[in-house]
Amino acid sequence: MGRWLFSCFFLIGLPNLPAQEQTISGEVRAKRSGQTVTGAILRIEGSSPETGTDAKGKFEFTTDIKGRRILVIMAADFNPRRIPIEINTEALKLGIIYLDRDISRERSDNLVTLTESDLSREEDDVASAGLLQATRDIFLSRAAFDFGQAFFRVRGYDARNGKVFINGMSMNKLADGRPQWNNWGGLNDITRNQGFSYGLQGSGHAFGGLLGTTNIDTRPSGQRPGMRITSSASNRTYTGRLLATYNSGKQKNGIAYALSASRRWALQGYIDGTLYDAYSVYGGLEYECNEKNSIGLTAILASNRRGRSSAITEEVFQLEGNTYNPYWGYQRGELRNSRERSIREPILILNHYYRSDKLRLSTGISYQFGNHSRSRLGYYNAPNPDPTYYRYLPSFYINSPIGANFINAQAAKGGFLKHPQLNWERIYVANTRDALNGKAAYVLYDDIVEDATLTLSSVANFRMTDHWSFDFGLSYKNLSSDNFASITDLLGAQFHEDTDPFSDTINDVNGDNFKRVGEVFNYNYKIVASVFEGFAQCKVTLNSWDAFLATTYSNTSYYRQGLFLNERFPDNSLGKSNKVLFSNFGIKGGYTFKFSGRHWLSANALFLTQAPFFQNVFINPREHNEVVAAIRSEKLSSADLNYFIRLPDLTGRLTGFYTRFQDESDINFFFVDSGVGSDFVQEVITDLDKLHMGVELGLEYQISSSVKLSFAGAVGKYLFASDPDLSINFVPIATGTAEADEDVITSEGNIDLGVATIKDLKLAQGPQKALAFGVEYRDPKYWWVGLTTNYLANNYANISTIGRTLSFYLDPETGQPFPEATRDNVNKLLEQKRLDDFYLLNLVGGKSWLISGKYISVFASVNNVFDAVFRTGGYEQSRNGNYGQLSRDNLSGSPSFAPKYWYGYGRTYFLNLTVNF
Amino acid sequence: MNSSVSPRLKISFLFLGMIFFCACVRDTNFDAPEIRCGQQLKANATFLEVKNLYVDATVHIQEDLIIEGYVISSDEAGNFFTALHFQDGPVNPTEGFQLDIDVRDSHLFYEVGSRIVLKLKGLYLGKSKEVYKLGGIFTSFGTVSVGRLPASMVQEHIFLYCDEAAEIQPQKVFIKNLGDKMVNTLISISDMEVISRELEQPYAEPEEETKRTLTDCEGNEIVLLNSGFSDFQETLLPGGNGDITGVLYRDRNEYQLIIRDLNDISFLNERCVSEVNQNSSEQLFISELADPDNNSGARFVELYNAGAEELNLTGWTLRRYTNANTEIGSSVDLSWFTISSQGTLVIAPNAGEFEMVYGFSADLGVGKNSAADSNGDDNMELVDPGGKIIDTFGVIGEDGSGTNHEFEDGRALRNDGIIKGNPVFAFEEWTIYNDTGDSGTQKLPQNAPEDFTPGER
Repeated sequence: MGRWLFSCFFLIGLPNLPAQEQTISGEVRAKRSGQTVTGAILRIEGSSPETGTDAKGKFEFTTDIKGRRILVIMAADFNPRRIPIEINTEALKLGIIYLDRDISRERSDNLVTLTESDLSREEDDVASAGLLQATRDIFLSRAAFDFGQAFFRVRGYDARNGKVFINGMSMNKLADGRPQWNNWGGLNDITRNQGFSYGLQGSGHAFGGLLGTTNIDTRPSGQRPGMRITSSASNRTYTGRLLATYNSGKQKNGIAYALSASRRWALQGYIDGTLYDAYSVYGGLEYECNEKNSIGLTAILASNRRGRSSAITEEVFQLEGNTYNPYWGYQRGELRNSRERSIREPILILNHYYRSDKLRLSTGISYQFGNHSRSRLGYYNAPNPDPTYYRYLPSFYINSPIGANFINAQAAKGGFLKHPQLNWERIYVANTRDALNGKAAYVLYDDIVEDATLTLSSVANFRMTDHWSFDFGLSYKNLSSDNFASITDLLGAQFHEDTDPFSDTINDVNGDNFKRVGEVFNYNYKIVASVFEGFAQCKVTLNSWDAFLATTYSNTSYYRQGLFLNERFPDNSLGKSNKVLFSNFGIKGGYTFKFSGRHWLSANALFLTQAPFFQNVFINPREHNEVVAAIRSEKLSSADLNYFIRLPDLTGRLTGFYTRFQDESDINFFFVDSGVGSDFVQEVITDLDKLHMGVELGLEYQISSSVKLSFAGAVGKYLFASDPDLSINFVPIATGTAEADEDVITSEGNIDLGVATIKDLKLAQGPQKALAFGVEYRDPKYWWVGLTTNYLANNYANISTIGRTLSFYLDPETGQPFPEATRDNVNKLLEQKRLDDFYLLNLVGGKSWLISGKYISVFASVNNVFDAVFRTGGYEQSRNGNYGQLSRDNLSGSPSFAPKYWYGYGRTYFLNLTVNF
Repeated sequence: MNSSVSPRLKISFLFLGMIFFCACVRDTNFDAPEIRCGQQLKANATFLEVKNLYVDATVHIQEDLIIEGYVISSDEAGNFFTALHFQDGPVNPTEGFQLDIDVRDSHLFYEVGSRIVLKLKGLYLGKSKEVYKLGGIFTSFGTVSVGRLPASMVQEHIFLYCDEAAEIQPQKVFIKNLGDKMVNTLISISDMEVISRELEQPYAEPEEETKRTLTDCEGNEIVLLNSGFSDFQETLLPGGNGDITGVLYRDRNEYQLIIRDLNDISFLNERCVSEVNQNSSEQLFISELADPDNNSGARFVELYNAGAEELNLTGWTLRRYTNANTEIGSSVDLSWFTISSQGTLVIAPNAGEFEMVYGFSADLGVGKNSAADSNGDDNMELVDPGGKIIDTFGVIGEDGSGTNHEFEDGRALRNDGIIKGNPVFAFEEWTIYNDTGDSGTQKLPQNAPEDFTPGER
C-alpha cells in the first residue's frame, strides 16, 4: 500500500500548470412545464468534475478546458442532453437549457419483470441485469433490457462480481457474495437514484467488483418531490402492481421525508403455478442540520413470496411445453405450489453526511434481519411426489434394462398427460393412513436462513484540487446466520419422525425425535461471519489524461456452530468449528488518454485475492463442521481496454476484456451412480480456474432529432481454464439407499476422485454471443416507440463435473474400467452440446400527457413478439456417474437422466400507467 | 407539520390501505383436500367373471368392467414389491387377484383392509404360473404378458373407498385343503413350523427371492416365499411352532405363502414331535479322519453307524471349527443321505483325487475348505437335526497343533469297541498319528492309500 501512496504523492509534486479558466453559466428547466430543475448535474464530456444546479435551477462553473466540447446535462426523470459548445477566451452564457422529461423511465420497471424470473428458479444464480438499470451506456442498456430475458450475463460474470450499496452500505450477502435485489424489490421509485461505475472503473464508494459498483441513494432530498402513483399489468412474474410514493421535498425546517409502498401479485406468472405475493414499504427521513451536516434514516421492508418452477428435460418439454412446472397441484380447487420462496429481510440504515467544498464524508450503520425461506415437500419411505420423477415418465419404460416396453411407455405418457401436476390428495391419503398412527410420510417444510447483519461503514471523498482527489473507506460487516428446517404443514399427519430414512439414523439426538408443526428438524446450525475491509484510492484528472489507483485490504473469518447432535456425525456435528480466516488484498488502476473531448482511450487492470464465500467453505454445514481441506483464497486478475467515441450524432464504446479467476472452490449435492458406487454425495471441487474474455460494442446514431439507431454486441469466450481436483463426501456408514438395488459406497466417507478433465469446456454463464439492433422513434408530441431485434448464441448448459473424472470409466460392479470406455467413446458421450441459438424481437412504446399540472405517462412493452421458444440454460444431471449407465441411458435418445433446461418466456407484455401530482 | 401536505398524506394513506387490502394471493394455509372416494363407482362384475375372460392368452380388457375388493398385501416391509393382492371380501372371500403396479411404498395408499374399486377397461389380464394377474403389459421376444401398470396410470384405475380400513379375517385352512380358489387370498394355518434343516437360516438370502419350507406336524409342507430385499431378510427363521398368516400364492403346482411382515408369524409353541427327533441317533459318530502326509488331496472324514437300523440323515450336519475358532468355519449338510446299519459314510473334499487314490468314490464330495478338508489342527462336531451335538472331535476353541487332538499329516482313528458318539472329546477313544507326537499321540506320519481305511471300520 505504501508504494502507491508514495507514487500518488510523487505525482502531486508535479507542477500544476496554470491555465486560464473560463466561466460557463446557465439555467436548466423542464421543457413542458417550464419548471426549474434542481439537482441537475453538468459535466464537460471527457472530464470528470461535475457541477450541479442550485435551487433555482441555475449553474455556474469554471474550467480550463478549451475548444469544441460537449456539455452533458443530466437530471433524474429527464433525458440527458448533450450540447456542443465551444470554449474560447470569453465567459460562456448558455441561457435556459430545456430538458425533456424521460418518458421511457418506466423501462426499468419493465426490466424488473423480465429478470425477476431468476428468483422462481431452483438455483440462486441471479442475472446481473438489476445492476445495470441505472446506466446510460448503450451496450449495457441492451444487455439489461433486451438480452436480460435470455439470462445474458455481462462478460459472463456471476452477479457476485457486482457490488451493490444502499446509501453506502454494502448489500452483497456473505453466503454467496450476491446482492439480494428482492430486499428492496418493488420500491422502484426510491431506488431509482443509482450511481453506477462499470467494470474496472474507479468508484468513490468502494474498491468495487469486476462487474462494477452500484450505489442506490434513497435520500428524499435527491428525489423529485410530490406524489406519484403507478399501476401495472403484466403476464411475466406478476400480473398486477400498485406503487405509491410521496416525497415531501426539503422543507423549511430542513426535514425531508418520503414514503413509498407497493404491492405486486399474481396467482401465477408466465410459468404455471408461480404465484407472486409481494409488498414493500419504505420510509426515509432526512434532516439537514446545517449546510454541511445532514442525517438520514432509512427503513425498508420488502416481503416477497414466490412460487418456484423447475428445469425440465427435453422429454417433459415435448409433452407439456415451456410453461410447465411440476411443483404445483390443486388442493380444494386452489393452486398450491410445493416449492415457494419467501424473503423478508428488513433493512434499517442510519447515515450521517458531511459535505464541504473539498471533503465529503459518509458514515453509516445498518442492521438487516429477517429470513429467507424455501419450502419443499419431503418424503420419507414414500414415493417421490414429483410427477416428473424418472420412474413415472415414458422414457423409464423405453430405457428399461430388460428391454424397451413401448406399450407401457405409451400408457405412461397417457397417464402423465392426464396427471401432470403434483397430487396433493394422494399425499393426504398417505399421511392419514391408519397404520401409520399419525406419522407423516410426506412433510411440507421450510429451509430457513435467518440472518442478522450489522454493517458499519465510513467513506471519505477528498477533492484536494480540481486535479487531485482521494477516497478512503473502512467497513465492518458481521453476520450471524441461523440455518434450519422447520415443519410448516404435516398434511394430515400428527407428527414427523426425524430419522434419516436412508441410514436410519437420528438427526437430532438430543431432541425429541417426534417433530410437529413449527418445530425445527433435520438440521440446525449457525454460521458466524465477519469481514473487515478498507480501501484507498487516488485520482488525478488532467486535460489530456486522467488516472486512478486503488487498493484494498480485508480480513474475513467464518465459523460454524452446530446446534443438533447428528447420529451420523457424532464427533463433529455439535458445537463450534474452528475459525476459518482469510486475509486478502487487491489493487487496481486505470489510465485514460483523451485524444480530444470526442475520442478517448482507457485501460484498466486489477489483481485481487478474495476470500471464498462461506457456502463454498463448509462441506456439508447441515451435518458437520468439516471444512474443505484445500480451501484458500481465490485470485482474480483482469484487464480491459476501452475506446470511447462521443460525436454529436454518434456515440459509442468498444471494449476488450480478459479476466482470469483462479483457485475457486465449489460444492454440489446430488445422488450419483458413480464408478465407485452409489450414494448421496457432496462433491467438492477445488483449484478451479475460469477464463472470461471478449469484446463489447455499443453504438448509437442519432439520424434526426426523432430517430435513433443503436447497435450492441458482445462476443465472448467463457471457459473452464483448469482441470480441478474433485472429491466426494458421504455418510460413512454403509447403509441402504433409496434404490434398494444399488451398490453403496462403503468406505471412510470421503473419496478423492482426482482430477476432472474440464479445461476448455464452456461455462454455463448465459449466451456467449449477443447482438442487437434497435430503432427508436421519439415524436415531438410526447410519444415514442422502439424496436429491437436480438440474436443470442453460444449458450451452454452446466456440466456435471464428476462425470469428467476417471471414476467415470469404472464399472461399479467390478471396479475395473468398462472395456468399451475408450477415450474416444467417452469423449463422444460427454461432448458438451450447445443450446440452440435464437432471435427475439422486442417492442416498447410510451406516451405522456400533462393535464392541469398532473403528469401522466403510459408505457407498454411486448417482448419476444414472435413467441420464440428458447432455452436460457440448464444443467447435466450427475446421476449417471459411470460410462456404462450413461451410454445405456442414452441409447434410446430419450434418457431418463437427460440434462434439464430452463425455458425462456414466450410472448409477454408489460403495461404501466403512472400519475405524478 | 405543514397543513398543505395533509390531503396528500391522506391520499397516500388511503392508497396504502388499498394496497394491503388487496390480498389477492392465496396464503400458505390450506385445508385438507376432499378425498375423492370410490363410492361413486359401482362394481358390475365378479372376480370370477373377469377371470373367465382369460382363455389362453393375455387379454387387453376393453369392456367397462368394474370390480371391488379388499387389499390383503402390504409392501411396507418390502416382502411384496410392486404387486397389490386383493380379495373379494374381508371375510370368507371366494376369489382373489393380483395387480402389478409400478408404485413403491403402495401401502401408503392401499393399506391392508382398504376397500378398492378397479376400473378394468384398458388393463391387461393374464395368467402366469397358474396365478391370475391384472396390470400393464410386458413384452419379451414377442410374447405378451402382464407387467406393471405405470405409476401415472394407477390413479386412473384404482379408486379408494373413504371408509376406514376393514379388518381382514384370514381364512383358517389346513395345507391339505388348499385349493385354487384360495390363491391370492389371505389364509392362516395353525401348528406350523420351519423344517428342521432350514433352522438357523435367515428368511432370505440377500437380494434373492428365497424359498423356505414350512411343515405341519403331519409332515405336509408348503413353501414360504421371501424376498431378499425385505426388511427381515437377515432375520433367522423362528424355531418354534404356531400360526402363520399370509397371502396364498402359487407357482404351477406348488403352493406358496407370502407374509406381509414378521407379525404374520407367531411360532412360539414347542415344536411338534416329528421326524426331527426320530432320526437322531447316538450311534452315529466320526470313525476316521485323514490328512495324508503324501497327499492332502486325499483327505476325508468317515462316519459310522453302529446302530442296528439304517439311519436317515435328513437334518444332520458336520461342522468344522478351524484352528482355535469358536465360530463354525464350514458345515456339511448330510440331508438326503441314508447310512446303513454298521455302514460308513465317507466325505471327501476332493472327490476326484479320492477316487484315484483309494480306488472307489466317496459318498459325498464337498469341496476344498469344507468341513472334511481339515489339515489336522481343526475341531469337528456332528450335529443331529434337533441341533444336539452327538459327537465331537477335538476341543472347540483350541488349535490342535501340539495337543492330543492333532492329526496333521496323519490320521485319527476311532478305536474299536467305541459304539456311540461322545459330545465331549475323549482321547482314550482314539488312536492318533501325526508329525509331532505330542501329548501322547504317535509321531508317525501316514501315507495314502496304504495307511488309511476309508469305508471300513
